[in-house]
Amino acid sequence: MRLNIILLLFSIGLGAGLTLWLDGTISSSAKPVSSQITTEKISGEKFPDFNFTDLKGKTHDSRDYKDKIIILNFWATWCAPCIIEFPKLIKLAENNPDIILIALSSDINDDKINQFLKKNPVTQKNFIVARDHKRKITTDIFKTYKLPETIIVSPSGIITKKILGDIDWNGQDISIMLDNLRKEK
Amino acid sequence: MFKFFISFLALFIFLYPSYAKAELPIDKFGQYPILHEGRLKPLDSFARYEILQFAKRENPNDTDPLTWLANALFNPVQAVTEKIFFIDDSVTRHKLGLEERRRPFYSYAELSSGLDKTSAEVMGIIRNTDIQPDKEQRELLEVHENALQYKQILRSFSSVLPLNISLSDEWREKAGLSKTDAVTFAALQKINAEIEEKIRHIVKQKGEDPAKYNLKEQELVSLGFQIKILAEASENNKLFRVIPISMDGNFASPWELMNDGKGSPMAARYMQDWSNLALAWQNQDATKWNAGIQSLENKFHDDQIKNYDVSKLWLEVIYNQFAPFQISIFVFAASFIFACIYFVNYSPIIYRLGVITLGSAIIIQLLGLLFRVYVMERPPVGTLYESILFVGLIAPLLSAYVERVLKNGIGLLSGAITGMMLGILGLSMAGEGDTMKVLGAVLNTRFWLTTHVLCITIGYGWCLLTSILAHLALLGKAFGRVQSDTQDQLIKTMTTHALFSLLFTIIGTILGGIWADQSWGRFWGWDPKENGALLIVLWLIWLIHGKIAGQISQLIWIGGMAFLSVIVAIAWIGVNLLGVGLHSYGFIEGVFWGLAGFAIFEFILIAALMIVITHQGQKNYAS
Repeated sequence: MRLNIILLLFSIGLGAGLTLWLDGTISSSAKPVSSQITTEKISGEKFPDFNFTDLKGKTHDSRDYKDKIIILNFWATWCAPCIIEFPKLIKLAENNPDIILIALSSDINDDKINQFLKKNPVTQKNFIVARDHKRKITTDIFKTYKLPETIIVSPSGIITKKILGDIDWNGQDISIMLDNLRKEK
Repeated sequence: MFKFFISFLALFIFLYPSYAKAELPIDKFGQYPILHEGRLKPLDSFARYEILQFAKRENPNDTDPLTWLANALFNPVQAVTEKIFFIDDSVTRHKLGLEERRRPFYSYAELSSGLDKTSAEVMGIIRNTDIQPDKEQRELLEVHENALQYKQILRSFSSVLPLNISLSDEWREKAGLSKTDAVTFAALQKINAEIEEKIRHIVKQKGEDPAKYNLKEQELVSLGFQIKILAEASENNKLFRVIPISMDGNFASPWELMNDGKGSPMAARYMQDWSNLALAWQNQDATKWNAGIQSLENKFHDDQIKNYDVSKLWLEVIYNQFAPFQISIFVFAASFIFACIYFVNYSPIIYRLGVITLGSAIIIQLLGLLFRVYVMERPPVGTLYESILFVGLIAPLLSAYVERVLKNGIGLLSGAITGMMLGILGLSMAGEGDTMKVLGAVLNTRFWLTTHVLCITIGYGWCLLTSILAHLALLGKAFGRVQSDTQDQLIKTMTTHALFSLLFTIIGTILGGIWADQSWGRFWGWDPKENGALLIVLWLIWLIHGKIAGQISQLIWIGGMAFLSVIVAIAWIGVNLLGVGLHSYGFIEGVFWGLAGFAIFEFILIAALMIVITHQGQKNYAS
């Protein structure tokens, strides 16, 4: 009988030990507070290095904008939501001169983009419009197939968000997000 | 003795068939992770579950599951002709217009016309939610579901596999393809927008009749149509989630990258390796295949993706290959044979062999369960199948303890019987799919899974052991083959174990009530599972009180304890078949008839033994 009680206590002890061990393996890190934009997800990887040439013929390197918030927008003139979104991005660049906005078009030639820009002039120095030749950056590097899509990069060079589709770029959510990214500097 | 144990185990290991393996080294490929049913598992597990679902076995064509999977992914043209769909029901075969054959295995190509023919019927069954589908309808639904799933596997990499599409030099240049590069859907996506625009322009100018187009325009329209067909075929292809898209452990299928905007620079790098693997498989190029596998492995190592644990994946592959719960059935069976022989000749060597095999089976069962705890990071019991595995350890373990105390073969026999029977029951309950599924939110609490669930399942195990001991006591009494002191010890042991059974089932039931109060807001809701647990408690209390009060004879006491197996079976498995209540897993026809058969068999067996014992007692009294 004594042995039975010892065995019973051993079983209970084993169960309790197992519970403690299993509970110990859970990390109790708090979940990040998500903003109200639903079409985004956190990526957390390093912004890759790549080169592109803007419509004025100037070559840029993604590393040129180190320590800045980069908003990389994939768009095309044949993409209706992109056209709707474009003026909002111009306004965003205007209101936030410290960020770099790169609008990378999937158009086949520069003519259509230039035609479009005549109607939507971009005067801000922090707004770069470029054509992605053979979509090498859009599909080969970022695996982006559906437009519009926007990548937000923190000053530390980490992809923090990816936004699918057209959103309100001048809303409160974006403003809070940019403020948070600025604090990283 | 150790040498004997090794050679004994080796015998069972060699019983396992060796499948035909691919020419390319595929073992490392099997350790690659896939996010499937909420869990990161090795491709080896995925391949086994999928082929088991389609063919009801892991090697329908004597090909190992991984080779089958690689072929289906990278060589879909050949894979559609592989006979992997097992269609047992003749009515379903007739409906699908399939020819009768000795082994009813069919290929996807053979099924396709039948699937089209029956799709209207299937849609009708799905839409009509008021009526439960009958057996034949369920069979047809299953064939359609399997075919759909297989189609997803076949098309997983169709975005990067070479297409049989000819492309002019102009379009090749625009798509960034050299003259020798294979045309892929991914490459076509670069020129798709321009093609669409040109087609719109042609239609606007010449209308929708292709006869009015020139040859170049016709080729362009045809190309646009082919791209559209490929894009449509890829919709909702989310099964093969092998591409990590971020370091936080998110994975996507190749088509999700394209259709759902899940692409990322990280995904692009992994996708490149998968494309290389696909080409290496098609060309059976071992050097490029190995390089692709190595590159993927290095990326996982460097990227430090959350939840990726190479040792866990490797261990799961070993677990799949070793199949501990299948091996333990054989070892328990060997122990049963030795125990039976021991009761005939009482040979000490046979006894030792029986003890060793029982111990070995328990160790194998324990290792299997420990592996599952490690992989699932939760206590071992969360599903009905897992409860069977756990009771399959507890009951033989308790029997081994009985044997240690009594040293007369009773514990040996009862341990072998419970281990073997529960092993077979577990095998039948494993079903066709992952047995390590992620649990629902309500169930997935480690504290309650450790306390309530383990307590109640230990109770089940103790009840089953008590019942087996009662059976042995009845058999001993009925046929008089057991010595009287052994018989007395047996009844005494059974009584002790009945008390432990009551202790664990009652504590488990009360803990379950507390859990229910926390989860569902009530202590007791007369849920079938709760009633089942209460049934065991009441049965034990009734018999124990009857015995203490002297209201029932020893024979009824033993008979009642023997019948405890049926009470446990109803409470444990039977209540799940009712299709109602929060614990219900739904009605399973095969299980229902199995359970009914078991209950009737037990009733007849116990009643017959009691009648024989009563008759013998009257004869002894008369003489």
